[in-house]
Amino acid sequence: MIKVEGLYHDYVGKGEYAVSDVSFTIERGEIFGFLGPNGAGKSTVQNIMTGLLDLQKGSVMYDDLSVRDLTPSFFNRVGVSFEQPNVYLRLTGLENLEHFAGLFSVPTLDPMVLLERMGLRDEARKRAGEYSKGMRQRLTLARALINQPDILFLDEPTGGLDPSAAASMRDLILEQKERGATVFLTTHNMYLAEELCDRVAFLESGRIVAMDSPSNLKLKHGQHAVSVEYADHDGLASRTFELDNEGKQAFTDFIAQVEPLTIHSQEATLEQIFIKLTGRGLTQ
Amino acid sequence: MNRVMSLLRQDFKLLLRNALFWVLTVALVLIVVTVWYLIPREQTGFETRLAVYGMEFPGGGVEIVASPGKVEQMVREKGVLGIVREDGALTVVHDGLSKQAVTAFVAQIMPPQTPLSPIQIERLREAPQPVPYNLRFVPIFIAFEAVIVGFFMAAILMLGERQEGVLEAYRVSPGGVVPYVASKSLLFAIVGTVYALLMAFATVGFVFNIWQFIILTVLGSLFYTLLGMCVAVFFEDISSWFLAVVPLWALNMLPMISFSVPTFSPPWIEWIPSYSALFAYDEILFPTGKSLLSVHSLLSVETIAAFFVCAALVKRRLLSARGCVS
Repeated sequence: MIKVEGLYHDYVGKGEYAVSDVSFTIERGEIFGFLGPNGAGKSTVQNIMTGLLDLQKGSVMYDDLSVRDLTPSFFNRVGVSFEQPNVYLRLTGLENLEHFAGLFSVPTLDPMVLLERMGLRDEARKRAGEYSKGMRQRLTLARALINQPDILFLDEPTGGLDPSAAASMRDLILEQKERGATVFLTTHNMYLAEELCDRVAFLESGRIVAMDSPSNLKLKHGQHAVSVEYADHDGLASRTFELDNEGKQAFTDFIAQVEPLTIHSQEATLEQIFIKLTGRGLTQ
Repeated sequence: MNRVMSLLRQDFKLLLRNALFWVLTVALVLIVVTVWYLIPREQTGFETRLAVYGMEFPGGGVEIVASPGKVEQMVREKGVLGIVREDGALTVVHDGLSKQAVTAFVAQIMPPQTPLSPIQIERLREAPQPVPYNLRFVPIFIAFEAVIVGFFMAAILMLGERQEGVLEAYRVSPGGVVPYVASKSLLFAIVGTVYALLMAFATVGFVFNIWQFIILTVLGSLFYTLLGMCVAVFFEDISSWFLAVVPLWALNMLPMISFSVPTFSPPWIEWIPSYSALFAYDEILFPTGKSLLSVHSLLSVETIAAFFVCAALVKRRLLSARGCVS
């Protein structure tokens, strides 16, 4: 279990916290989404959790091990994919993975198999400097997976990817969960979070404003209603029914009277909930 | 060891793909060509180096002049050394040489049978074979080119990694500080040694103590690579780093003056590591029988100390929590 408690971080040392009083726990095998717009403090939290930034205040515990006491060997269990693809541009994709594979003292995956899985087999022997941003992003993720980590940190893993590659990436992340890995997913992509995450936390201006499973958040903050589109004399019309006792009866009666064209539940998206809670969108 | 080898392989590939490596290769060819074809084996156009009045003096570069005043004039204007024999006394006229230098010079040039010679000369060793003029420069090229390859290249690789952001990825791997420092040091110890051997073989030939040469070059390359990394950790990019290392580079080359003009040998210059290395290369390539044990010992101690300092600095400034994320 990963336990983060009372985390604060001040980059300039003037009491201007980029992250304030952030607390959460992640259970083993869970995909935990950290959602927020750019600058909300998502990457700061990930960097503190991976030891890339100093732990100034609060605690980050991996079971009984504090982030302050991490040794290099701990990282045999960890994979980190960064928001900005950071690979050796003068090395080929294959060489990048072979190099990092050589640093681990646990069994690692075959770099070529991993590159094939990422759709980079044909470019395996091209220098990473010749890759597009999306290809470098996939290479960065491949590097994070090379040691089959127990704990996987993914910072905007679908950034710069086309829809097909993004879908493939989603499948890959789900495979990691099936394998038993714990995934900390930092993103502002609500669809990705909604599809993948067991729980999400909304981060705004360095503070967590809501945290729950996506379905619970929708139940809690969404509208319990259905909308029916139907054809009438004037063309297309629609009507919405609240799903309380009266509304349910009215909905049933109405459906029996008209020819419905579409019926949609009116549950809120994570984006709508985020706007409701913070007054701003996830992509702003 | 596996990690060090993985890092070593990767650094070697990066080195081969760096344009500066090929610049160094071209420099090696140019140095060899310079030594063989551009610098003469003998000094030609031998100018007057000694102005003499009142006595016969055999040898080249000597001008017998008509008066003591003329001697003084030549010393002042041409920077030559003057000898005046008058009324049975011998006067050496010079323009600021040390007493030891003058004594040594006089002892060297005065024929043993000269009745005026006040100096007894006792040779502790056999006089060495004269070194061809063009080969006198080889120790300089080795000490200031081959041995300091690591000083520059390790820093360039390190700063490249910093700029590409891969150090963050390394920081969250089990790599660790010691393999990181060890791999770069080892790589440039190998590269520096191969470079220096090629230079020596192509110029001086194979008749020198190769093992002493290798030991000196490995130690020297390790030391300068570690020193280069120690400096590089304080910089974010290659441009700012380069501006700062130019003065250091110049300082490191000062012993070349002592090598060319032995009278310039202030005590502080001996503290510059290249000083002992330069004279040690000269001794290995053109032996006179001096022991190099003290040079090797001192360089070993300096290298070990540099390794610990470098590891501490890399950990603190490059691979620490604070150092990695800007």
